[in-house]
Amino acid sequence: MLDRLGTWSWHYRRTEPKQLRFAVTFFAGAGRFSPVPAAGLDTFQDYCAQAGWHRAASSDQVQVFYSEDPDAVPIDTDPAAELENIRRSIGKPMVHSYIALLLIILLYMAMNFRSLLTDTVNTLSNPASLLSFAGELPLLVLAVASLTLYGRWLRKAKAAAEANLPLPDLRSARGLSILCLVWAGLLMVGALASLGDSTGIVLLTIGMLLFFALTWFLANTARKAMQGLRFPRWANLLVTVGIIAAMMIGEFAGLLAFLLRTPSAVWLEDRPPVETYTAHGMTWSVYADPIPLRVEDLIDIDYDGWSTEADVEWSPLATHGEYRQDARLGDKDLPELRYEIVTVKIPFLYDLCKRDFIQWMERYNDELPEEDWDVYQPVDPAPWGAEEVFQRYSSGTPSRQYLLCWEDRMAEIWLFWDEAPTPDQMAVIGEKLLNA
Amino acid sequence: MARGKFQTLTEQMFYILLCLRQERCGADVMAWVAEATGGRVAVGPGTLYNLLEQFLQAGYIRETKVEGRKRSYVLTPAGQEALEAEVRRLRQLTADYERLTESEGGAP
Repeated sequence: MLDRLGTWSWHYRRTEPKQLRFAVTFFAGAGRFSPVPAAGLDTFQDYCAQAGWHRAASSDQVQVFYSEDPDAVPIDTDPAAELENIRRSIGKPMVHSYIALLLIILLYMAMNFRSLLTDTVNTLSNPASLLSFAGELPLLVLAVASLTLYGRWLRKAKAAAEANLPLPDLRSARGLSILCLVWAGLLMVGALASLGDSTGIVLLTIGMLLFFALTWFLANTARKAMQGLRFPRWANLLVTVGIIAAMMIGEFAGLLAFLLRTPSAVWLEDRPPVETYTAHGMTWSVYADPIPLRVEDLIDIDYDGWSTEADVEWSPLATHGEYRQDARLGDKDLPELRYEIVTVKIPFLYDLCKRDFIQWMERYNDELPEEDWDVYQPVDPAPWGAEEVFQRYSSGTPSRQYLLCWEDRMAEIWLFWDEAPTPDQMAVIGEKLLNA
Repeated sequence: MARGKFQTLTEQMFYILLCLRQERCGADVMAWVAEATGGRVAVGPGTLYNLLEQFLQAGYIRETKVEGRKRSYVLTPAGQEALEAEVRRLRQLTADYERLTESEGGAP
């Protein structure tokens, strides 16, 4: 016999075999945030008992009854009243929930598209950003499908009620909901897999997930307690949302404070430094990541204190590597190198990525007089072995920053030394960055 | 309501209002309707509860007393007016039928 309707499952208890009729109906006064027991529910159940219907189980508005009498009068006998009850008890709350979900998804999508337009390279090459897009789409489809299904049912139900005919079955987008859950699980696994090798980041993410679970537990416990204390629905809703908002604000504030207090926390890094040293009263890390182009490839220099870092992000759309070679702090007048390499895997995204580099260069120009602008000006690409090369001009003066473009790749490089690159150096840079 | 709230009354609305010309508790209404109509009209418990709530909101009935879980109701002048309006509508339908079938040679 059906005993309890849980959030994720139905529970049954063992009983003697009997021929029973079951009926599902809705009680508008009972809801997720309404006082328990709902006002009038006992009266409603008394009416049902008098008609031979006994309560089997219930969950919020959903009420399941059974009857041993095969000729018992159905619980709902007036299609017009039944339609009104369904609209009031589950129709309106469902429509409000899905519209809220739709607005949140559209807001997120707008933010993601903005990030795609203003920070194209990082967005396209970051698996987490792409996973975010992938997470929004099924939810958007679910919200639209559910609203469409309900709208279509409402139209048919109105026609049936007008003709005093039984209402059609109200179907949910159950298959789509299950697909969304499976998809969400896969995304979660994907998100955890894309966190990289940093134990600290993995622990931080697990900690955040546990905090979300704690937030849900606290909010749910408070909601149920307020239901038992017969708080009005609006007060219960307000306090529950308040608890969730306070916990979220607290979490992000705590996280921010933690990260600000430990700006160079080694445990957050995805690989340990090979060495550390102290300068200006602070501890600095030295790395020895392999990088495709080194200062020594361009200049004869005798120095062994280099720190080289490579940070490469990969997605099916683009690969973005950021590389740097630094001398130790305090070792003066040594050349340094920074460069980024972007490989675009989908041709139509190439111009977006190139525009991203150029827009980033020009980001402050609107606030400056034209003579102080930062611009990329085309220079002869032949010595670099590239198809196009742009050089940065700041306030009309050329600087040692270049954007090199090939068919599916672009690289931006900063040479931190005074001399302009020679044709030989240009050729080496072009070759190394193209073949990296 | 599908036909505009209470513009016309369904049979069940009609008999519930008719029943509540005398003060009765909700639980008695189902039995009264079944008996009064010889079992032709049955009001389900869900329908009864929802219609009583809607009639209360519309001011067609008022609650007279609450004894534990037992609530009693009686028709208000507005409910009486709604009932009479429905009767007039039904009489008009009947009169139209008789007039038209007689003038056009009787029922087929």
